[in-house]
Amino acid sequence: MTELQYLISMLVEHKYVHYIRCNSEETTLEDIIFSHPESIKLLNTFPTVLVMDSTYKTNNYRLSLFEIVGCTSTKMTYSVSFAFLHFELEDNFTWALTMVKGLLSSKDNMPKVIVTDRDGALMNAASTLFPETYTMLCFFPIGKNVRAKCIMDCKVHPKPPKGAIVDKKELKKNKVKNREVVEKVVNAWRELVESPTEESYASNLLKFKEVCMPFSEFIAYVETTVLNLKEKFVRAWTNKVMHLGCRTTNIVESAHGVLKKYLTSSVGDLASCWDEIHKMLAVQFGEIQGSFGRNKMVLEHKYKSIKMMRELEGYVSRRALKFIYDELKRSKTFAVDKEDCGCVKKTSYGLPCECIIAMKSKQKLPLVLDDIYSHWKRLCVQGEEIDDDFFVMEEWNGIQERLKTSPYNMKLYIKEMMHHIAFPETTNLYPPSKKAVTKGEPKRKRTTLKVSSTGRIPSRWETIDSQNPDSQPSQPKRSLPKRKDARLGTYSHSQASSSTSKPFRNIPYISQIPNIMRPFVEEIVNVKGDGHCGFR
Amino acid sequence: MLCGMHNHDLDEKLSGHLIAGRLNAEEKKKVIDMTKSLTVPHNILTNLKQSNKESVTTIKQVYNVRTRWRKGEEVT
Repeated sequence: MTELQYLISMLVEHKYVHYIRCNSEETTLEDIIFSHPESIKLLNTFPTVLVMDSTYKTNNYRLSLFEIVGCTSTKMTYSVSFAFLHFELEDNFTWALTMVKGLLSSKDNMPKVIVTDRDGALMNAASTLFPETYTMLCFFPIGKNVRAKCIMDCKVHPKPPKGAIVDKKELKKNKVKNREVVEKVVNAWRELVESPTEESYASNLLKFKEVCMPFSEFIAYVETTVLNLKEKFVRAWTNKVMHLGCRTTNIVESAHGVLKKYLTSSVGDLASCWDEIHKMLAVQFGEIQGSFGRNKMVLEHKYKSIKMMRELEGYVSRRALKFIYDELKRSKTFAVDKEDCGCVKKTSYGLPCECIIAMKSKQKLPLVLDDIYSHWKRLCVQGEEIDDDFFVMEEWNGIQERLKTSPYNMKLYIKEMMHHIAFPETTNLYPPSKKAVTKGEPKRKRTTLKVSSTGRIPSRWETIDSQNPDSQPSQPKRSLPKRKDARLGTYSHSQASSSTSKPFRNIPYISQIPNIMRPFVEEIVNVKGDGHCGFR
Repeated sequence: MLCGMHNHDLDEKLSGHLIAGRLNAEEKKKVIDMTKSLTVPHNILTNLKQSNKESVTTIKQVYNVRTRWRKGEEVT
């Protein structure tokens, strides 16, 4: 049994919905997508928000794993489907998303919001296939990229030409200044993204431009590549859609993390990947079921005294109850007008917002279940299998008719086609060949390199961030005197600071020596870092 | 909803309930044995689910058994 035969037979055995696409010669597998029957039920119960992302380093063939997740009423993540894609082109994503669309039971069950990364192909595919769905972008990497760009571009004093004599003190001053500028820009950016209304967005944009006045290149970058998609991540616009609090792709990233914990190695084949995914899904569904049970049975004491919420308990998820409780508290502390409220909870969570709660409490009306969006009220997996009015009689008769009339060779062909449908586990498909590196010199294999790690390669902004830590101004590395006791040095900081408070003698690096030995130290020589400890 | 009845059907799966997900003596022994051989909790849970397809155990129960065992309490 080949790997793919095993994979397909297991998919059939566990009643997964799976689709396979091969290359034009029908010999090698290109894309495969599969979803667990339980996932499909969950998808039809909680279709409001879907989050999509690809991850890499999961299998031997270097196929990217495209994962789609959703979120339940109890704020847990469930996996909708997994797809191994050969390329990350619009065509592949369109194919995968068409298959996912087919899993949704009806037209009015379409997702309201799809959150993706800034991947043009995926964005296009999602917006063409789900035209009524609001496609959102994750704001977190955008902010990070802006920061990285800012660090690289917004140099207050550009580097002096080589050979010019530079005063070191001045350089240091500039460095600090540069950091402040970055901090300022980032703060302005954050305010811009979080601006609650379009008017405040406009004013924040002016502020942001003012802050980065001197860096026209940076402003141009931000305007052309980021802000042209402002509707997709700025709070002013995203507040108008039902995103249920998913403004980032972090739920899919954490799903990747969980999956990779199971996978443990990046050189497994597709079948072993499926094995691990299957194990993970069993645990995941158990947890989701458990959370439903807890949400129905366990009631929180703090809601007991609130009359307004009495009708909701046990019928609405505890997460939603907490949101309502917070709104209730806020409505008590602030005198709420309809204008001030903004009704964010209403529009983007489907829960009663401050102004509704304030109005109801004035009239002494309880909150009723109709006020709450159906997503939060679903505390069990709904969805029956649609199996009625399904006939193949017409096609069946057609095939038999054709078999009678066709010449012998055509009959063989038809038989082969039907064989594939009837016995999918006897497939002759090959897994894709391992992508060979055709460019450049072959790399030397280093033994220390972990080839099988599933760890992510850090993004560009992460490398820039690590080079420019924001907490402390990067100090030039202090050259410590090499002494044996430096390694032993476990004395506490308080000791060191107490000795500096009463300067014993004005010897540099005296604070590195334990207190008890200090009176005997005559001199400390800071040797050159040439590896010979000053003996040459 | 108005007459005070439940607005949803009775759940087939009682997962999350105190009694439904509890482990029987054999399973508890298995959890402890696997803990002794340094298996991480989520692998223990996977193992339990593989041996019993109907299982509605959650990770919490595995944690509980392990903690009780580690504290030296009697696990029955």
